[in-house]
Amino acid sequence: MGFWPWRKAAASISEGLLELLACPLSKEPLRYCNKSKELISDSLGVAYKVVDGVPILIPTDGRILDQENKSQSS
Amino acid sequence: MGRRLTMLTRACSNAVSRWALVKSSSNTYLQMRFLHGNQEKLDIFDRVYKRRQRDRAAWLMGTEDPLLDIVTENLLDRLEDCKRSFHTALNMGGAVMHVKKLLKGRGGVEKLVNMDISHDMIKKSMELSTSSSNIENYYIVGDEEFLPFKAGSLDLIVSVLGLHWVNDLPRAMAQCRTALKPDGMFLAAMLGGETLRELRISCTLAEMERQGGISPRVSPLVQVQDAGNLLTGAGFAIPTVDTDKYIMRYPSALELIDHLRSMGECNAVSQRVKSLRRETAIAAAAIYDSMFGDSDGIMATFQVIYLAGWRPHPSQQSAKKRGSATVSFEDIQKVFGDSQTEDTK
Repeated sequence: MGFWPWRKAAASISEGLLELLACPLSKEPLRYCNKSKELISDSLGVAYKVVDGVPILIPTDGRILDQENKSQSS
Repeated sequence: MGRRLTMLTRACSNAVSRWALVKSSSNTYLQMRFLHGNQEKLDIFDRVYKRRQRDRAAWLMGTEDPLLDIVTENLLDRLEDCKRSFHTALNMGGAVMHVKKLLKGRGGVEKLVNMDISHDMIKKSMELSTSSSNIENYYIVGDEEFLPFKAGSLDLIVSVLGLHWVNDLPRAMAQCRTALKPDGMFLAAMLGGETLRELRISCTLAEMERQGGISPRVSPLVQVQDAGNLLTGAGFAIPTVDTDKYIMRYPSALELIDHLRSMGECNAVSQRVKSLRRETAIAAAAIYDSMFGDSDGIMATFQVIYLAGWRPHPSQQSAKKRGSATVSFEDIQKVFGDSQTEDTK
């Protein structure tokens, strides 16, 4: 933890940032899932990672949610 | 020639087979990802490789770089010419660290979102502390080609030397326009066609001499004439384009390549030849030295195109309707023409 000083400060995503962000493909609002710590685009069924409070919003890095996971997280 | 043709056909067939794979799957996400990327056309730049290069550059780059600093300073200076203030700003790609460092409260920015395609670059700019503490900094990893912002959420987009690696520039700029609020400003600096002219010439000559053929070593860049069309094509109002030329001096061509590498500006053209023979590299350096060098070392040209545009808004000035003038041009000529002739007498 001491080696990466920014890890302590930002554990989850801040509200001020989340209100600006959209899915890079569909441009629809994203939803933050507290359980999996991911940003989820509901219309496409894709989850984007959030690493140390920094969302990784690159289309090729998205994880495709299968239907069961989708219903669980929502 | 034959080799390049086979490379091209291979790329084409790859694209076709990928399309078939995507079409057969019913997943909308995969389909959209593909459709946004390369439908009907090949990618000029290898974005995955560019991302890796920028990851590496994050470790090589110092906090001070003479070229990036001066371009950033020149671009951000334009914010002082605007009377309005910009609450929410996006710092998009390229010299992310330098924009964060040099902004110094210009343009009244309160919320700055730093975005880069490389996570390591973002980590490095998170470590960088700035003197002005009243700016809220946010960080995301994102691609300029797929801008992850809601429509009408930003007041200002700044991009310093990041847009010249984008495959589909008109689409990327149109996305910027939609992400801006009405009357929001788009400011960008990108490298123009004259950039690294010397390196282009010496690599071509060396490759012809040693390997009997040429390959793309310096990437294709935007010409100044096209920059204005790009802005208007993307739907920006009041477009402004100007260029600046910077001459950098280095002890030899090897230092130039080191500098390019530390900026993450190495060759990332998808059709590049992935290896470079040592003798060709040395020959290129020697040609560079003899053609563009003097007793102090060598020089390299960097042409920077500065772009500025606004998202259209009714309050902006615009041309009047045709035929709405009340005074004829002939009358104006009579009034001014006479006074001018009197003056000259």
